[in-house]
Amino acid sequence: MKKGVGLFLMITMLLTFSTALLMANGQQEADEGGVKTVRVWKMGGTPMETEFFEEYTKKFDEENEDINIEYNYFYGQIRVSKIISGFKAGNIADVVVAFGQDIPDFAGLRIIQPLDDIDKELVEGWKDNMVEEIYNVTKYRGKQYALPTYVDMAPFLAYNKDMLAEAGYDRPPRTWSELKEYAKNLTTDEHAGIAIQATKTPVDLNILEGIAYNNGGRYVDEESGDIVFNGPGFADALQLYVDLVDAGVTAGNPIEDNFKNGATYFAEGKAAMWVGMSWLITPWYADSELNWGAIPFPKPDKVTGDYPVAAAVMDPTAALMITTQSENPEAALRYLDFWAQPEQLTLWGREEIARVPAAKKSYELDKLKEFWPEWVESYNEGTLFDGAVTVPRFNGVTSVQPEFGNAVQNAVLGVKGIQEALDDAASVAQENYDLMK
Amino acid sequence: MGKKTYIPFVLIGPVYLLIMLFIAYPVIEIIRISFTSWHFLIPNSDVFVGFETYKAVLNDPLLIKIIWRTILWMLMGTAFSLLLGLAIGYFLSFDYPINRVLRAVIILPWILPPVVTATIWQWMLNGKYGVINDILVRMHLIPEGVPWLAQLSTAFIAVNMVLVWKNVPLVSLLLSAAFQGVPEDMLEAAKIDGANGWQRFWRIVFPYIKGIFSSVAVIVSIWCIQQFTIIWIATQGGPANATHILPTYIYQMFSQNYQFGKLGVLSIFNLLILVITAIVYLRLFRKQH
Repeated sequence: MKKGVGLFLMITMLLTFSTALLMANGQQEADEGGVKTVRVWKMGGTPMETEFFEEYTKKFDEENEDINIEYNYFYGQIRVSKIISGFKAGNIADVVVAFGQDIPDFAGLRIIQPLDDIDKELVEGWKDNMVEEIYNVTKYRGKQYALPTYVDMAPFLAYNKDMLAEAGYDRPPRTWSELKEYAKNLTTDEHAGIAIQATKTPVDLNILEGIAYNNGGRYVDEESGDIVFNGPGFADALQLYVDLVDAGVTAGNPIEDNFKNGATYFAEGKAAMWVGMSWLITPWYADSELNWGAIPFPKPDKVTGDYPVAAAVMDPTAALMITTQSENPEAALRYLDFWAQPEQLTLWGREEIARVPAAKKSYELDKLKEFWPEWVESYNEGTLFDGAVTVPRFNGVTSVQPEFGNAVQNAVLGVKGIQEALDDAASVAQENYDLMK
Repeated sequence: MGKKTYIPFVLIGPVYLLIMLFIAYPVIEIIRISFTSWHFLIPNSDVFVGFETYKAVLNDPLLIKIIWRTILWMLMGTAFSLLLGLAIGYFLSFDYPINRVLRAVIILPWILPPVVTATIWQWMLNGKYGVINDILVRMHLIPEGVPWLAQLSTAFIAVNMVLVWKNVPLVSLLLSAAFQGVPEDMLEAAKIDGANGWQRFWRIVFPYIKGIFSSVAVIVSIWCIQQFTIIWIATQGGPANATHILPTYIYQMFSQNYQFGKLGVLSIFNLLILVITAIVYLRLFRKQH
């Protein structure tokens, strides 16, 4: 019996040993001859962005013989669990391309490191090419944690000019009460008045958060550390959604249809208006004949929130960060520096026009001027980012935001009253938030 | 003598080790975690806290609903899969020419990956452009499209029916094979004695396949209770948590809240439901044999 067991153990040990040897050898080969390996995880993005990200990464790889890039793309919705799990398993990439909203959680867990700790001079030099407001959006506690390539801003309203004209309107709505009236009068047998989204997808929640911030709402009171999304700023914004749904003027089903479905309804002429973020230009696969315009979302008739009004919320959703487990942070920073150069940074504006670009030069491009004349004009006047703040960003946001999503669905479905739904969710969110504190 | 004693151990040893490594160890680890306050994002939180985490979980009103819903999910899924499977399997057991084709075609839902199944049904059940609504509206059964997956009153049943749709093919084929094993002479004798079709089915055919039927029932209930993908893809536990069952809630606890201690407790509850189910069926088996 002993012989058999011994033989079995010996074979097992031999197999384990040879596997470990092979793996170690592979790593050694990769770093041999001064070639540094930099692993990159890109999380989500528009199809065009995903395409050119890979293409330009290859270009960097070819131009830098001393750096070997291993590039991987992952579905955006799994980014937080993928990054945290990778970090905990000691197997995270050197560079992750994630959301600015993730920075407090990632920095708090020491998953990412401040870029200025690696090479302050280089990182500060990026400012010359970049819009200052966007450069600063990835700063956290005085340190630059990521290179932002653009920001998405919310909330915006797209409107079908022909449908508005048919209903006798010569301009888009300016206030919430006008919006409700427009939505009602624009609803016909052929199309709904407006497409809104109340799914738990973070993007959909960010849009509603933007509307609430317009109304003086906040997620967290920075001074007291209390979750305050159950305050009047948020409650009235949610009331607006509930009113629109109850009035039967929304396209499809807001609980079921996310921002992409909203875009499709609008693009197909099944909704006269659509609330989204600054990527409205993408009405994915829209008929080029669609006669439409876009404006910042209408403002509340009277601000009811307790905090300063924010004109918009913004977030860079392709921000390049360097992880603390990177064995080659200098090489990783060179990869970021490559992306910080105008040739790459102006891809947003030159190729992808669905984002608010970080590169100053993007605002000189004809393509951006053609598609977004208001943005460019406003940028030149220095008002594009007036009153804009970052999307809710704090340590623990990942576990707090889904609770807000629950409140939205409970209210829209009429399971609970608006205040009750928000209070219940805020109470659970507070527990999660306190744990993280 | 020596050979006779050590060979079985050598043969069983690797399997035993694998079972210990991949089944016993994770279970023991989950039990350990359930007694901690471990939060994935909080350093040094993996500490023993006795039953504190259990108390916290049991104070969650949503959880009680989810446990009941998990049991209901399993019961509904199993009952409908078996009933439909039994009917279709009985039909397939006859030697009609069309059954040769049907036996091949019917397996399609079973071989589709759950992700594909859920995605297809998500589209088919969509309130605005789903084909199910289109058919029902054309047949004048409903005046306008129903958002099956987005309404509290229909979401749970709709997702459960998707699960049934996926389970029924294999259940039918297994039971059809069992039906074909029923001796013809017994059926002939019953027919001569004046038994009608219904009586022949309940008095002869069903008792004959009862053993296989019970085994299939155990397997199906386990498939139901461990189902995650269909719900997660179709509704992510929504709307307003209306379709969460324990596996989806556990995943949400992992991917959004990172509270591993609570996740451990929920996994233990899930395991308990599975163990109780298995015990009930094993008892039924023993009675039969």
